[in-house]
Amino acid sequence: MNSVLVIGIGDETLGDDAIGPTVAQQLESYMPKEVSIKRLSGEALGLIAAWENASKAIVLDAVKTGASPGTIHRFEPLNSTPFPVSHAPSSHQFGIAEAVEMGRVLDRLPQTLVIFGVEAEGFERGDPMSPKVRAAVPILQRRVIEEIELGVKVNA
Amino acid sequence: MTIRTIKVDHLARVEGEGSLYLRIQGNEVAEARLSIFEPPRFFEALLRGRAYSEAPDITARICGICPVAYQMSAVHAMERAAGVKVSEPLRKLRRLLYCGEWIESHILHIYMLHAPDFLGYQDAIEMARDHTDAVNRGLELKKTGNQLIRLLGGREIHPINIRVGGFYKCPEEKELKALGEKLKWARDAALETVRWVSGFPFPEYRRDYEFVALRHSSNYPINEGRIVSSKGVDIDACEFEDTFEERQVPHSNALHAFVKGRGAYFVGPMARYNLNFTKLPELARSAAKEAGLGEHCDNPFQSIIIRAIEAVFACDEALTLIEEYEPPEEPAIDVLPRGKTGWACTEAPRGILYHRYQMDANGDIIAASIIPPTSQNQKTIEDDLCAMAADNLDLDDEALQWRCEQTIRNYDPCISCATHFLNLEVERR
Repeated sequence: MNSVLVIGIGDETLGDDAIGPTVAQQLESYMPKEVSIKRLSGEALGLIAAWENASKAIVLDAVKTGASPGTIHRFEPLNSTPFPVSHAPSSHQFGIAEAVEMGRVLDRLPQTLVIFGVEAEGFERGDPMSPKVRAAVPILQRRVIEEIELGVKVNA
Repeated sequence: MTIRTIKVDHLARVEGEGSLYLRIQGNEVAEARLSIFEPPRFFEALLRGRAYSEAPDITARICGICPVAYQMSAVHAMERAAGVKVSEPLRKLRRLLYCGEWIESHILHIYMLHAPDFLGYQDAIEMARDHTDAVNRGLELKKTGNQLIRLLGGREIHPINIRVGGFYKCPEEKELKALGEKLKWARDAALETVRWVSGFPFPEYRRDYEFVALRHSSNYPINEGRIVSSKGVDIDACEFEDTFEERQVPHSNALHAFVKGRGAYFVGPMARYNLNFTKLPELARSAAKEAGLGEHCDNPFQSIIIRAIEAVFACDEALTLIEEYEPPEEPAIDVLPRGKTGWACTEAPRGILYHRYQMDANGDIIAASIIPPTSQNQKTIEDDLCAMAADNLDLDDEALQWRCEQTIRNYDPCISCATHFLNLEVERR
């Protein structure tokens, strides 16, 4: 129960939707054993199954809130208001916001849940990430590492 | 004359984005339309000129719920083009992988998308407050399917271990055996699911459908078999386009499919069940009997029971396949479909999924056609909406809309799949 989990949500072939899985993949190469990295589609039951035994889960996703592309939003849905945005390109009506709510009802949530949502520009099939979102990759990576260190300290 | 319209701009609890429009004039249903307004995604741009070996990974992207189905139809079509067949152990491993997807997809639909319709909840979260044990059971069951896919596919989404000719790496016997206990639990939980859903209230509703599914000489169909129907179709996958046709309709990005010269047809769990009941294991057949189903069912509202019965089958089949597991001698065979055309149909959770590929002399794809199950069902769904609404004109708008949405969900439509058509013909120069 002392584990930290990073979940990258999205589809690498849908333009800016690639941000979550891309950062997750890059982190994979140099993370200590205590940190697990997963790439998921964002479907709610899969998310709950992944995070329910983690002490801290950090979810990375592309979002559309109207902010300028590349902006990194940070949400702590267990401490504040529910995750306020929908994952725009997902084919799944039953996604991340529902996973948080369903996790609450079933009492299947991680102890701490942090969601990083990167403001996306486009989700066209076959497009690469837009320059502004690509520029957010190293920044998000650093913020995730800071978040992990915080998690490890808290649990130490 | 009074005119009533029921409009739902964004259908919830279906995969993808769709809308519903129903027009009632006086005492008649004038029009029912299931519209799909997600723009078609042009997979042909991704496939054109790509190597035959890339088809499974590219087409797996079409759907986050049933990537294995796309991979399986693609690999079988390529092997057919090359005129080769994989060994029996590889064939069984593919069947096992597909069982994982059936479990995952059926359980997601039963527990998260369809059950709330029968129990009177707006969504699964609301339902979970009152039916916590059931929803927890669904979650664990889905995890079991997920574990199978992760073990054989290499990861949970868009599996990366599948290739034309077989797998990149085959699992070790002990890895498979380790899933045995979990699958035994899952088989019991699936039986419990059959009991749970068979107690739901079902509207009396029947129509004369043409059911279409695969039929295999010895197994309940998953990856192989002839395409058969309840009205006499009995063809090989290479005859698919001679027997079925697709028509453009103005209100939807998805094409409507028909049996040529006859009309709409019905694919999916209920079609498989009706055409292959005797191939189900005893456990699944007795669960059906206990649930009050005969060997044939033509009330689409009861498709939720059949999904649960197929979940029992998939768990049972997975256990058998694991018990009999013999590691393949090679993880994959050589497949070279140069200058050839190949076809395949496999049973995606929602029904038959057709792929056709034509390759040039280098083995690069020059033409492809993919017909997903939801587009094949779309006309049948609209016909159901008309007939069901006509029977229920006394309901107020809210109740009628509820019943309409439930009717659509009988088919577990994967609307995002249905719009991912590709139908390309490239001129060879």
